This record gives sequence, structure tokens and C-alpha cells, in this order.
Amino acid sequence: MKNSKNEWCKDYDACPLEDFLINIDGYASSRSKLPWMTYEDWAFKAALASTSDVIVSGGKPIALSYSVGATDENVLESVSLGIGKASEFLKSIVLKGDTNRSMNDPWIDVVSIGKMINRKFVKRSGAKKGDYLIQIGYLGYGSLSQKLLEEKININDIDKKLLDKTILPDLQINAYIPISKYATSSSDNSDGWISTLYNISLSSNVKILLEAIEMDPILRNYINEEEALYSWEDYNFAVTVNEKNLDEFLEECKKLNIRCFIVGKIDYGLGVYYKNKKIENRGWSW
Amino acid sequence: MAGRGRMNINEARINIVSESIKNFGLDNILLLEEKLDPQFEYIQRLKEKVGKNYATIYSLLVSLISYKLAMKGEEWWKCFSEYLSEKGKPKNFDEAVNNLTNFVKDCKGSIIGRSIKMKRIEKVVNGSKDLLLEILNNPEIVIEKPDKIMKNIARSLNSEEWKKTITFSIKMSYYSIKNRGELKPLTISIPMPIDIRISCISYTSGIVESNSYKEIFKKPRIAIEAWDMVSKLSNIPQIHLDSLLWIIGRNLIEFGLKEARESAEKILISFFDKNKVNDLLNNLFYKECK
Repeated sequence: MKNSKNEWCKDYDACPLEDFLINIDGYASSRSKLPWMTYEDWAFKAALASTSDVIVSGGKPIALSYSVGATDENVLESVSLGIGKASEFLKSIVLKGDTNRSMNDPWIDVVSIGKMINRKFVKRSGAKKGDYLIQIGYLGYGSLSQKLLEEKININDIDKKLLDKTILPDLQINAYIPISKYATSSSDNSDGWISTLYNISLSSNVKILLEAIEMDPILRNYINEEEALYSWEDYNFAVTVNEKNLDEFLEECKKLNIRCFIVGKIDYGLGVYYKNKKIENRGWSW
Repeated sequence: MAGRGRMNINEARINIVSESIKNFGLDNILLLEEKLDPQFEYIQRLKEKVGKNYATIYSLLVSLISYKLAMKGEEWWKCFSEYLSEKGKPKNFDEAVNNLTNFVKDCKGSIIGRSIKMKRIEKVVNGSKDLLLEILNNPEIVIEKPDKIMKNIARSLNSEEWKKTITFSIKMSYYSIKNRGELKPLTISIPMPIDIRISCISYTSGIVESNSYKEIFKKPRIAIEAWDMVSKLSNIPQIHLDSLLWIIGRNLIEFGLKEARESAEKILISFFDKNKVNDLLNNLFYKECK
């Protein structure tokens, strides 16, 4: 009997189908809703997370669909508000919302659909020796969440604006434009930055020499570099670009006001190295 | 007016702009380099740690690879200053070269074309070793004989197209030799390096008439000629004119004329005479950069 292994989309953050890129992400509230989030925030972030895979694959976000398991009507209403807010932020329409009753743990699945430019999309495989590694968008907000969860930082010491970044990180929506034009490979940071880089390393069969981590400067007093390496759910992007297209790529970033940083290079080999030291692959696995 | 296709030099504007730059004065421009050019500050900090001789060699060599950087210029010079300060004063020339090579390897700003940058340093260190040892022994020769140094380095690099970075390396080593508060100009005549910022001021000041600053950037010959004229009339060497324009033109691309002018005014007015600043800015920000 054929099982439902996703062979068709191996090495993809989002799956291409004709002119579209499609992704689905699901979350159980007990495992994903941070204590300081409302259900509206939680749904908003779930939509962002699903769309992040579409953007990093080179798709322009155009539509969302979702299915929610709610424990009561208040949760249902909050979730629909969150999805509405996300649809405005992502400039995507909501195609369909499906509602279900959940006994004790609300859950949500979000489908995100993006449109490809000339059917061009980018996978995790494709990076080559000599390519440059670009980080798009700041990271570090996941590490802040981690420290708040572990009570290493008191939530009352955190500015509201900074706390909001754990709900809406530095997602660069227009990044699909330079990515679709010039990237050789890409992956988004949902399970941890190192894990994201390993996605590219393992799929492309290359070694990644990471030289810098671009953390949001407002996090400097809370997070150190090593912590930022494993920062998760920042929905920033790792992208590789061939040297011959590097100037155009950076020019496009500048033009569209997208935060792009050159943070490393690609070499023969396997694994991720930070300042010449091999870094262990760890992050959320599912 | 000298006609050259769609681009022209506007002599009337050149006279007015030169006059207001002359009125602002060379001493004020030298002071402005000290107060507002972060490169000067970072080089001085390095000098405090490793001494003038090594700071001059470091500044000269690193300028030659200060192109296509993966970070902002300010961040690059900070990285340079902090990294080499931490190494302390080298025992000899070879140790200095070794420190510099490690800096290029370790500072992420040099990531684009790093192996080419390393080769470039190697070429100059091998090809101009006697000259570099002479500078190490007597850094003042950078100010006394800048043309001799530029020719020697150009020969080692064996390429005309690097002229801009070679000129820049003279300026940065001059920043190392100059002490804070010392008003000693660098009297060399160089073609003005026409980057985006200077193209924009060439347009906004009205000294070059063109459809847009982008055209000036693409065909810089007329702008070079125009700034040569301004340099002569105002009696200010191009290398110092470049500092003035670079510092006040930094906001022109990102903001509109009014905002850029306000921002420049805010910076300058805390150091210099209000009337001179206003006259200068009125003439350099004469029309919108487009």
C-alpha cells in the first residue's frame, strides 16, 4: 500500500503546483501558544509561519485557508480575528475557514498559497561551492521566548514592543522577489537557525561556513551570539546566491527595503561551521 | 557653458559653489574630517594602541581591500580598529602583515572575494616591501611624497582600475599620521572619486547639468572636471573636498532634499558658524537629487 510520504515535495519548504506554491502548517495550542500570547496572536503567527515557507520558496503570498479545532466560541472568534489580521498583513485573501470542536487543546492548520513568477521556485537543494549565504531578516526573538519560558528573563522587564516581536518577528514579505530571481537554494527559520542551515547543507550536500549572525540590535542586552544560533520561529530566511548574481541580489534588497546580510560562504563538504568550528544540528524536529 | 551631449558643466554654478566652499574654509573641512568622519576616529583609536608607524601601514594596506564590503563602511573600520588594537603593537613588519591577514580572514566584512583581497595584500607586500618598510620607519613620507607612493603601489598591483582605492589608501594613512587638532592638509591633486553620493551632489549643486544623477554616475568624466574646477577656485584639494561632500551628502539618496539638508545642517551647526553652514548648504543642496 502506498503511504503518504511527501516524496513530491522533498527538499522544498513549500510545494510547487503549476503556477502556485502551497504549504500547510499545523499547531496544537498546548505545544505552540506562548503564555503571553492571546489566541488571536497564536492564529496570526500560525498564518505567518505557513506563509514564510511560501515566501522563502519564491512565491508571492496570495491566499490562506485554515482549519481550526476550538474548545469554545471565544477561542474561535479570537482565531478568526488573528487570521483576518494575518491576511491583511500578508496581503492574502482568506479562501476558507473550517471550524471544528476540540475537547481540551485547541489546534490550527493553515494552508498558504503563493504565486510564482514565471513558475520559478527555489528549493533547499541547489547551493554550490562558492555561493554566498545571505540571512534575510533579523533573528533572536525565539531565543528571547526560550529565556522567558525558562524564566531566565522576567517578562516584566521586557518592553511590550520587544515582546510583540515574539509574535510578529522580522518577516520580510517582499523577499520572494530577489529569492525567485537569484537564489540557488533557500530555507526559512522555523525550527532554529542552525537547523535551517542544516536543511540547506544536507539537501544541497555542501558545507556552510557561517561567519556572522545578524541579531536584532534591540536584543543585544538579552541574547548572546551562541543563543541566537539556535533561535527558532524567527521566520527569517537563509538563502544562497551565486557570486555572479550577488550585486543584483543586494541591489534588489536595497531597492525593496529588505534586510539582507551576507553571513557566510558555501564550500565542498557537509555540515555547518561557525567561525571554523562544526556546529551540532539541533532544533525542533517536529 | 561647455556642451557635451546631454551633460554640461554650469560655470556660473561652479563659481558660486566654489565661493561658498572657499568661504567655509579648508581648516573647517580638516576639522570636519576629525569630528565627523568615523574612519578618522577608528584609525586614531588604533594609533593609540599600536603607534603611528604600524597604524599607518595597517591603514594603507587595508584601504586597498576596502571595496565590495559585506558590512557598512563604518562597521568595517570599527572591526579593523578593534581587531588590530587587540593584537597590540607588532614586533616587526612580518608580524604586522600576519595580523592584517588574520583580520581579513576573521572580519566578516571582507567575505566577498576574500581570496582576491588576500592576494592583493600579498602583491603589495611583496612588490612594495622596501617602500612599506620606509613608511614604517618614517610614516611622514605619505604626506611628503604621496605621488611616489601611489605610483609604487600601482606598479605592484599592476592595474589602472584600482586608482580609486590607491588614492583612498593615501587618505587613510594620512588619517593615521595626522594628530587630533592638527590642521595639516594633504596637498595632492587627484580626480574626484565619483560615487553615488558625489554624483548626487554634482547634480543637486547644479555644477553639472544632466537628466539625472545616475547619468553622472555612469559617465563621471564631466563631474571630475567640474570638481577639479571647484578645487582650483576654492583652493581646496579634491581629497578634502571629497570628505566634505561625503559627510554632508550621506542622506541625499535616502531622503528628499529638505530632509537631507536639515540633517546636514543639524550635524554641521554644532561645530561651525551658522552663516557659513547655511551658505554652503544652500548652494550644495540647490535642487532635488533625481
